[in-house]
Amino acid sequence: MIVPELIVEAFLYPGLLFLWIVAWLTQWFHRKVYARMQNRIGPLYTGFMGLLQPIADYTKLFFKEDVSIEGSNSKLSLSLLFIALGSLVALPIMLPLAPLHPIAADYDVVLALYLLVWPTITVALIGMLTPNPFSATGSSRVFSMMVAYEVTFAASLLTPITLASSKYGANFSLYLSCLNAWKLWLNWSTAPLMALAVAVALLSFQCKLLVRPFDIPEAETEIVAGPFTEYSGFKLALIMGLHDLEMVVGSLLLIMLFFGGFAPFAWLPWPIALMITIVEYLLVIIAVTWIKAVTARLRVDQAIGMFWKYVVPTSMLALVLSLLTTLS
Amino acid sequence: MYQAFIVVLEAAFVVVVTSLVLLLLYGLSRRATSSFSGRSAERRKPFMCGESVHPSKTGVPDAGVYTTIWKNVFKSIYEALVIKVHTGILSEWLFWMILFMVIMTVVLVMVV
Repeated sequence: MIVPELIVEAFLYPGLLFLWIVAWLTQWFHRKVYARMQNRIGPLYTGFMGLLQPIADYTKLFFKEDVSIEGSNSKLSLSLLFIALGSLVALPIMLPLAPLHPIAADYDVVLALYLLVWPTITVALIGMLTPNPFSATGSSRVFSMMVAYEVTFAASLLTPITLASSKYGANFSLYLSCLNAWKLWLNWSTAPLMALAVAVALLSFQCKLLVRPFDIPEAETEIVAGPFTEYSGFKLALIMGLHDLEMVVGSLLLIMLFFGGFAPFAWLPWPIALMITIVEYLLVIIAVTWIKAVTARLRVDQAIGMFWKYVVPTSMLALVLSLLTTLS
Repeated sequence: MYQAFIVVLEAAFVVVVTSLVLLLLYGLSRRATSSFSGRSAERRKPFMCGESVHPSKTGVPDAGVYTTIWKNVFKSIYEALVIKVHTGILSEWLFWMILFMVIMTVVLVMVV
C-alpha cells in the first residue's frame, strides 16, 4: 500500500505542510538576520517579533486580483508553477526525512537532479510567457546563468554521491548517499574533495536562489522584477513560495548530503540530534544571508565568467578526483 | 530498471497530488477575488513605464539569449567556434544547448 503512504508524505511530512511551515519560519529568520546585518530590526509588528509577517505577506497576495495581461499565457504559467512546486515537494521524500516510504532506488540521483532543475526552468519560462521586455530580459538572464551554475551544482552533488557509492555501496541512491556521505569527512583522502564540493555547492546554491550577488535576473533597478514583472495575486504568491521552498529544500539537501543531517548523531537522544540538525540548517541559511548582505550585484557576464572560469573547473576537478579515488 | 521506473512514477504522483492541492487553493483565491476582478482594462497592458509598444515587439529574440553574453565572456572561444567554425543553419541558441547536453552526457557517463 504505497499510495496512502505517499499521499500522507506529500500532504503532511516531509511534504507540503511541513515545507510551508519550515519555509515560513526560514523566511522570518532570514529577514531578521539580514536586517541585523544591516543595522535594522526587521519584521517586528505582526505577531511576536514579527513572526507572522511572512504569513501576512502570503495572505495579502491570496486576496489580491490575479491580473493576466494581454498576450500572456496564464494557464501555462500556472501549470509550470504547480509542477515546479510539486518537484520541490517530491525531493524531501527522496531524503532520509521520509518516515513511511522514501522514494529511493539505485541511480535515483538522476531523478533528483531533474527535479532540482524544474524550479529554475520554471522561473525562466514564466517570464517568457508574458509579453514584456523586462520579463524577457530577466528570463534570458536566467537561461544564460543556468548553463553555468546548474552544471556546478550537479557536479558538486555528484562528488559525495560518487564517493559514497564506491566506498559504502550507496549505488547512486540519494537516500543511501545521505546516510553515508558524512563518513567521507573522516577519511583524509576524501575530506578535501568534500570541502571543495561543499564550497562549490554553497556558491551554486546562492546563484540558484537568485540572491545577491546573483540576483541579476530580477535586478529591480534595471529590469523592474525581471521574469516576475507582470505577475500579481496568487501567482506571485506561488512565485514567492517557489523561492522559499527552494531555499528550504536546497538547504535540507545540502545538510543531509554533505553533513548527514542527524545520521552522525543517531547515537544521541533524538531531541539533541534534532537540535543539532536544526543548527546545521540555520548555519546554511546564515551563510546564504551573510553572502547576500556583504556583496553587491554582479553583472551577468561577470557572474557567468566567474562560474565558467573558476567554479566549473573546481567542481569538475572535485568530481574527476572523486572518480579517480573510486578507481584506485 | 523496474525500480527506476517505479521511483519516477512515485515522484510524478507526488507532483500531481501537490498540483491538485495548489489548484484547489487557486480556485479559492479566484473565488475570494471574483467580486473585484477584471474591472479595469488599463492594468492588462504590459508594464512599459508609460511607453506604448505592441505586444509582438516586447519579447527578446531567442537567438540573442546566449550569444550576447557569451560573446563578451569568451570572446576568443566565441570567435573560434562561431566565426571560424560557423554553426551553419542551426541557430546559435541550439548550438549552445547541444554543447550543454554533450557536457552533461559526458559527466553522467563518467559517473554512471
